[in-house]
Amino acid sequence: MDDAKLLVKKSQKGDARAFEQLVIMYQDRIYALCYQLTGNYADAQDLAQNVFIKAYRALPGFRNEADFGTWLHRITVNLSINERRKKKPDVYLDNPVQTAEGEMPRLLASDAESPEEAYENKEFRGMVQTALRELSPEHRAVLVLREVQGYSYDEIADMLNCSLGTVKSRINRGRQSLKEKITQLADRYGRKLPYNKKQHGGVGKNGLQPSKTNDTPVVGR
Amino acid sequence: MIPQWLDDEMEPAEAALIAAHVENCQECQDEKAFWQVLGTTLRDDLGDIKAPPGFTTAVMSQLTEHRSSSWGRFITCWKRNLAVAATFLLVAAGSVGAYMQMGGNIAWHVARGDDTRSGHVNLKEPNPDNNVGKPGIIPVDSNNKIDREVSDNLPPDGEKVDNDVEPNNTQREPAGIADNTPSTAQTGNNTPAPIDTSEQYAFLNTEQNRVIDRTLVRVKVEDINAAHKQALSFVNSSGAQYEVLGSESAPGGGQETLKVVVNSNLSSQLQGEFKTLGQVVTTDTQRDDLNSRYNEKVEQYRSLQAQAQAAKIEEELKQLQVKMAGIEAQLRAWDREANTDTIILWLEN
Repeated sequence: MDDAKLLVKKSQKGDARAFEQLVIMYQDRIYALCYQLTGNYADAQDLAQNVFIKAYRALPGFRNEADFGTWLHRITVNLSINERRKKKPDVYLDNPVQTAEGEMPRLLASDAESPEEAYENKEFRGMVQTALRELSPEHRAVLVLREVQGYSYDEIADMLNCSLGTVKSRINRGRQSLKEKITQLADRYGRKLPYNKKQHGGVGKNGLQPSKTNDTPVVGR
Repeated sequence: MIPQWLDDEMEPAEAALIAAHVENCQECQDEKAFWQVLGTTLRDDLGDIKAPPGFTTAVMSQLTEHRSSSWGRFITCWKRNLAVAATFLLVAAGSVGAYMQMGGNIAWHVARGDDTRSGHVNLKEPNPDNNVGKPGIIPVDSNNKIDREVSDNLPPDGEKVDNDVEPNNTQREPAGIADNTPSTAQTGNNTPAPIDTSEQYAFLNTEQNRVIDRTLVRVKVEDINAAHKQALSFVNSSGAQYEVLGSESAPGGGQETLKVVVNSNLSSQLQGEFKTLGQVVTTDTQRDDLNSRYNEKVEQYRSLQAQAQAAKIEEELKQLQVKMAGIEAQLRAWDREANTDTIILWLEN
């Protein structure tokens, strides 16, 4: 039995120190996921605390053959979606900056590159964060679980208690929406994106056909 | 399609087709580059985040507060219990009447004790929270259903209990009232079918002393699981029925609450056995004397019965029968409960 399972077993018998060890063990993973889902530190802190409190209350019924970390992630994602549905958008320090020219994504620090590259990358990161924050809770959740946490489609379906088809559809629509928002932000501020915006014609009967002109749409989006 | 391919979530043949295409298509290479950069950006910016200092302490202090308040909520609910139970019965009776008005035939089921509100708790009720433990407290509804924590995983096998209380096997079907309703409707004329007054209604007997006892036993034990198993063996020996009202682990100790319904003549013995599980912290018995309310309802029933016998119009008879069915259901519920005692066993360590 690994450390987590042993701690879960002890916690289920009322050992508070064991549960405290579990919190220490998983706090960074859960807090990071909370930040990814909420997009700001204040909400992330509240959500992460609620996740552990909820987990603690439900612990007597937890079947210890399941992975405790995945179970916590499941609680996190579902709590996040439920809470975001109920809540109106707030203004946080890490929200986009309002300027005389309109809303600008807040620029984030990055590793050293050439000044131009660094500036472009910072802008791109800011746009990605802004676009991600504007997605629906469901789309944001599936994209975070896939892109950041690296869960498979099957695992996401299990976590959200929905079908594989629903997950595929949500991921596809979420990505489409994310790309549209990023493209709009880039157009608004006259910035470049790290790809060619032209759309591909898609998959024909004989598979994908290489495009000849720049007017041909890009595949799949 | 490119992102799904990058996710490695395609059939091999389709993935090979995409790979071959992307190799020769600049636009798709750009598309691929976009999603790769986007994924890297998301992971870089969102992946390496640490919980703030003091996070664990904050969580644990909230959990400690939660535990200390559990008993407080429980005992408050316990004290409110009788008034709530009485209100529930009135509401239930009213609902029966309303259901009959809509053409339903609930009276027979209610009188048999099939009414789920009369004490049945389905522990496998669907969880609306996407398989995640439901944190909310279910407030007291009736018959000592107190602060039930619902978790997403079900209790261990063998703990699901049907709490329909049937203290003996001699309970009769409700003769006359509900059964007469459809036959009346089928008579094809406006002459109501007479109510079978020859049927002796045991529930109309006002000589019997009807008192409901509910006892709370709070016991501090060494090992909750062991105490739980021992308690269940006592329950099984007495032929009582039980359900798990709540169970939780907590800083400083866990807690489990069982509701046990037992025949009145075995109640004292079972309470005594529960007290051997550990150190008894609290015992409290609430006694609800139903006699005056019961007799009042019997009077109402007899009055309606007389009106029904004199009724000339079918519609009027139906309305009276609906009211009678509601009262009958309530009387039968009281009658059943008066033959049993309810024990709430609170185990903690």
